[in-house]
This record gives sequence, C-alpha cells and structure tokens, in this order.
Amino acid sequence: MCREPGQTVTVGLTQEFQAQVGRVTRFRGPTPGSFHRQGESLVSLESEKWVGHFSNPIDGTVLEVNEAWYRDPSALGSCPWREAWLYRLLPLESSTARSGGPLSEGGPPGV
Amino acid sequence: MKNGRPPAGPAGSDSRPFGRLLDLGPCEPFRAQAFAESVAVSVARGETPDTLILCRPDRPYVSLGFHQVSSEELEFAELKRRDLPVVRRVTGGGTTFLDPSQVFYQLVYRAQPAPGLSGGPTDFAEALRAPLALLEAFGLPARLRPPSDLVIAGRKVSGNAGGTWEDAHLLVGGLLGTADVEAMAAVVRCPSEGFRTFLEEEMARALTGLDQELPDPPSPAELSRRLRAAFEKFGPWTLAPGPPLPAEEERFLHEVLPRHRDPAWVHLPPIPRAPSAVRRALRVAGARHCLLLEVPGSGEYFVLAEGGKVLSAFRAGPPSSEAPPGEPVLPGGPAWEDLQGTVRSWAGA
Repeated sequence: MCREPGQTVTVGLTQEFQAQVGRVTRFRGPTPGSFHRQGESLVSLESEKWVGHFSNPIDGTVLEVNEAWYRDPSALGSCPWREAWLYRLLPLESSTARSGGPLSEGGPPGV
Repeated sequence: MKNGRPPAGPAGSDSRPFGRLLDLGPCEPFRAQAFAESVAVSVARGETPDTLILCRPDRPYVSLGFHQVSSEELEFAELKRRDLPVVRRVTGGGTTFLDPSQVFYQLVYRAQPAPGLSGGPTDFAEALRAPLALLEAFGLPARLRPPSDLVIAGRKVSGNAGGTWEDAHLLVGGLLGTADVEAMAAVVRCPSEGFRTFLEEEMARALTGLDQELPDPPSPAELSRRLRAAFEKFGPWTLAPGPPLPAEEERFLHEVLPRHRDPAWVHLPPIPRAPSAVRRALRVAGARHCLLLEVPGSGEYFVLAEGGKVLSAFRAGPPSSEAPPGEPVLPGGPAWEDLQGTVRSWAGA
C-alpha cells in the first residue's frame, strides 16, 4: 500500500508474493465509487489451482481499479506501483492502515 | 530447505513444528467444504496453531471454484432433481462433484511465516506427501502430477486446490473412493447430450477411484483413519488432536454459513473478461481440456485439446449449413486448421 500526494492510496501485491503464486489468470476487484472498511475482502486473484483473497488495508472509497487485470492479467509486470497495482482509494482521514501480509507497503522511489 | 525453515519429515526425526488436528468426521456439505474458512481466521490471528482438518461429506453436493460462473457451469434442473446443494469454495479450480466416498484433508496455515510448509501458498508437493505415501502404502503406483493432482497410471485419484483467506493459506483436497463420472457429467452444464456423453467418457478415462484400484477398498471411515496416520507420519506438522475452538464454531454458524447460503455468494456475477473465441474451457485432466469455441463465420465447435493441440473436434451449431451439428471435424481440413490456430492461441495466452 502506498500513500501518494493528495493522500490517494495505491494497493498492490508484493513482488515476492506475486512470484510465489505465478501467472495470474483471473481477477475480481471492487467497484469504483464504493466505500469499504478496513479488512473487507476486496480483491481475488487466481493462478493455477490457487485463489487469493485480499483484504482492504484502510477505510476508504475506491477511486479506480486497474482494468488491465481484467483484460489480460498474465501480461502485467510485477511492479505493484506501475503496471500491477490493484486499485486506488481515497482513505478516510481518521483511518490507519493495517500493515503486514502480502499487500505491498512503501512505494516507488521518490514517493 | 527453503526460506530458512526445516523441511517436512517423518515424526521421530522430528524437527517438525506443532500443529493441531481437527478430525471432524462426516459433515454436512457446507461444514465439510467451508469450516476451514473459520479456522483460517483463528490461525491467521494466532489463536490456534496451524491446523489439519480431516472430514468427509455425509451427502453428495457440488462445489464451484471461486471465480466460476454458476450459470455457465451448472445444470440447475439436474441439481434440483438430485437435491444437490452448491457450495462456492474460496479456493481455485473447477466444478467438482463430491460424495460420501471421498475423504477430505484441509491444511490451514499462517501466511507469514508458514513453518513446515516452506513454499508459500502453492506448496502442493509438501502438503501432498502424506496422501501420496498412503496411496503408495496401498501398493498403488501413485505420483504427483504438477501442480496438484495425484494420479495412478495417469488417472486422477486426488484433486487439490489452494487459497489465501484472511491471511492464512489453505491447501485442500481429497481422495476419491469412487469416481462417479455419471453424476459428475450430469451436473455440469453441457450444450448437448452428445457433448455430455463425450465428457463422461473423457472423465472415465481421466479419473479413477480406490474402488477401481484396490480389490478390497477401504470404507470412507477406514480411509480417513489411514489418512490421519499418514499425516501423522509424513505431514508437515507433529499433530495434536483437538476440538474446534468455540469461536470457530460461532464464526462458522454466524458468518461463514450465512455467506455460503446466500444466493448472492453462490451466484456471483461474472467478472469482466477479454473477448475470446473460447467460450468455455473445462479441464478434464492435466493439460487436457474440453473447449467450446466460436469460430467467426464457421460456427461453434466442441474441442478436446491438450496444451495447444486439438485432439478431436465436433461441430456444435450454426452458422454453417454444410455440416450438421455432431459431425466430427477431420484433421487436415480448413476448419481443423482454424480450430488448431484458435486453440494454440488460447493455450499460449
């Protein structure tokens, strides 16, 4: 998870975790405009014989979903901040992010 | 040794970490399929050790893989006629028919770290050591066919799938006492009865049960007992039997079960997909699929394919009036080449 200027939060999977699960074939994400609490399962990914469900790390409203996951998930690169981000949301000001797990923390250099 | 953790090994040697054994015995279908989700929460929170669940369904039912679309996969009239509930599991894979001849094992372990299972969420090889050892102890030439099938002479006797739920990993599977291919083919949606027959024949070739492999097959209860012993000896953890936590029962009753019984969960809407000539793909064994293809200007075809290669094909429907539905497509002809190109493209995607 990465907080960006303007307080937008970008959520992606760590590169280590992506490497463990292999080529992704299916993706289900949240609906833009919807509000979700921390801990709600918002994203599912499927690679061969495995489905991962990932919880929302922070209360907020989904601004955008990376639709490239729907078009061709196998073609995505592994950087969770550039090609392979999952969704962006606008967090509640009072909300504190949950840390740990396969969701990435940090971000690209300079952010 | 990967990730600095010890490999799984037989007890006695015994550097294996401690794990809990939940032997639930015969269960109603929702409990058999989904109690592990409640356990996953406890495991992820550190309220209980990594856990092996053993159970078996007390009646037949059908399970959908998490991303499957019920209306594309299931023959609802047949489900109703046979009074089969549908359980959408949180793990991957395709549509499955489960019945009381099958014995389930479900490994639930913390996502970070995962002591004893060093390869992360898809560590099937370590997780399946115990059922594989049991099949070998029966004198059967079983092996792991990657990523997650156990096969005997190329026929699947155990299907397995994985998932990550609430910061815990699940590796779940079962041993087939009987491969009821008639029921399996009956509940899967097929565009024609000819295709259903074709599917049943393929399944009969691709699947086996212990009742076909052993002259004196064990009862489900005996199979479960032998499986438990195999996990105690060859599983990733040193097992200590224990009951479910009260919190696990509560969570199952008030959160997991209502979610699974909610039609909105069973009939999740389709996820957006890129346009594709492959309208449906049904895996029958290993890399072998039954595909329903639409070739523009030519019509619909049922295709049996392995990897990127067409093995056989039948015409399914309009628009061509030259070949009626059900006619085989001959290798070498233009239609065959079209299908081959489509399948190659699909397999390489």
